[in-house]
Amino acid sequence: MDYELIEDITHADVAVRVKGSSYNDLFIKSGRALMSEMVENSCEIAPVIIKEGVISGDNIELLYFEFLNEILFFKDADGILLLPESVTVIENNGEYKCSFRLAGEKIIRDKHIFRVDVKAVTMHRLRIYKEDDLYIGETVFDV
Amino acid sequence: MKSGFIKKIDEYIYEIPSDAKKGMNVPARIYASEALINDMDEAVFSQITNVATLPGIIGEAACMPDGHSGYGFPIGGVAAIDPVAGIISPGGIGFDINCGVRLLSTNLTYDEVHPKIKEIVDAFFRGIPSGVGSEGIISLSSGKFDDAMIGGVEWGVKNGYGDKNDIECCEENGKIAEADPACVSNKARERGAHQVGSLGSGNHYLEIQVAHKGNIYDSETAKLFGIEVDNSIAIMIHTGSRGFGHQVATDYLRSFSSMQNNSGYIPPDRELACAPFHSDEGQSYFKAMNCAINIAFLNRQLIKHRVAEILFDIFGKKSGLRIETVYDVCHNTAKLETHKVNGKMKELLIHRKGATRAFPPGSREIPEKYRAVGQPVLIGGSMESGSYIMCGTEAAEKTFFTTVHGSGRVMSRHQAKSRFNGRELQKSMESRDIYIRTASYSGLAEEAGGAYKDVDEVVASAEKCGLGRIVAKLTPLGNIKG
Repeated sequence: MDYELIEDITHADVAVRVKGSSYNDLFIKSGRALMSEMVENSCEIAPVIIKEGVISGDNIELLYFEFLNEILFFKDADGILLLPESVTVIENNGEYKCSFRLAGEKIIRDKHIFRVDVKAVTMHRLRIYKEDDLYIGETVFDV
Repeated sequence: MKSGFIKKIDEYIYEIPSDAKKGMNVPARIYASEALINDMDEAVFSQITNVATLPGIIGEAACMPDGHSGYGFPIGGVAAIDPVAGIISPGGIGFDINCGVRLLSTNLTYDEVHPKIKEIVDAFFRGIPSGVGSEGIISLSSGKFDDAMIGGVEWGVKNGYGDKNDIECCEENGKIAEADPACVSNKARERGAHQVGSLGSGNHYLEIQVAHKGNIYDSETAKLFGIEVDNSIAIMIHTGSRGFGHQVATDYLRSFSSMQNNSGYIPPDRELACAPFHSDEGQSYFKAMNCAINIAFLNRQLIKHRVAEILFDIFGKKSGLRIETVYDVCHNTAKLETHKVNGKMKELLIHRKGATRAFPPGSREIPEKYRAVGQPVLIGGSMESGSYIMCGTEAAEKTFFTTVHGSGRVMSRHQAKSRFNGRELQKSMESRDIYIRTASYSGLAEEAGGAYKDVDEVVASAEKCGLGRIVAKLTPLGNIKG
């Protein structure tokens, strides 16, 4: 598992800590963590539908919040389970942009084993920081 | 006692003074028995004192006996905000706007339902969409969705999904004012239009319950609430505004967070991002949130309609089958209400997150038929322990007429999953005469009764604090979970 659960933040919801070698890697691993909390066999999600986009944020944490919520949006709006394939985060004069490519498939009740539905990525205790050479993201998923 | 700042000021009231944390405008009060407060996780105390820093907060930041840690506000958190000088915060409402409970009474009895419990639960599981990715009973075109955002339950009734009693027996008559679809993003529309009439997952459920003879504590009030005879069957529906409300909250949390640095108030938790209530941004969120409140009312209405259809199919031969809404309460809202402050009536914006409005006898806002006894308050316990019906009391004035909403968690989801096995739990419950169907065994384990506080202790605490009066306990017979 590329992430760990943080136990002492919330009883009602799920708090996670994800580590990546870069912002790009952190975003990819965090998207996978989000899907893994919802779908027990998320590694079996077939990459048959592609969603690409560009989002922006005033800071890296807002960008992270926005990115993860995009995955939840597609799950509800289109009924698609998506995993990040590639992410490019760019900072320009204090403004952050992220171009992403997500791949996945429509929800299949007989195939996908669900844990819980994540309603939203929250800003509670949301932070991204660097420790040694690692980029670390912490956030709470509202379940 | 867990936190050094907490003072016991009454048998069931604990206070954290306003000098305990920098920026607190008012004290924080936790209403609970000593046993419950000792079971609360530390984050509750941190979160409720954060709430006390909100601009415009009046009186106290209150936490109900079922309080536990969430995000922004604790679950069970209540804040009364002066709308003129204060703010509105999506973190004080939650992403599942108007998550709530509806109770249906029936004239079915245990003896009629128990032999058919598997048939009924299976039919509910097939007929009521639940679980991740479930689509609603209806899918709404853009124009109709906008009408539903304004109309709530009234829209449902006009379109053949209910009757006048359903309108009368909901908070706000199932249709809160000042809902403006122009304040709702296209993303929220896309996310929610095809989910109306679905349970969702997590702690949402539909439960068949029985009011056993020994569990009716006030038979006259119980009769008024549709529990007419011993062993009456009731149905409890717990769900909210689904993806629509989640997206409304996400949109405005992002927007408020971006402009927070310019507001003069830096919240101790970014989830408490807020805007002045009377600013353009604050009003826009308020009107969008009201749309989500109405969609949640409609969601529970459509499920009630489907429940009635299914029960009429199964019990068609029983003449005069009655299935009626007793009441429908909201858990996650911010509403403009008038309360007494320093002896004068004042309009306040009451944020309730995982807490229930509980208006006392005589309130104009509750149905005329309930005015003599107070608002019905519906407390959904865990799927193993049972639920309660209470009614509002005058003594709850101190919490702006707010009380508990459920049991409250005592264990995190991860701890519960480590402790319980969903399939084994299902079997164990069946051996105890509770038949359950679920879309997720992992989700079932997270909702095990042992993950929650003792609901009997929670409601007893609420009653002893004056936050309502117990009418009856309802015991689970069957349940569907998302």
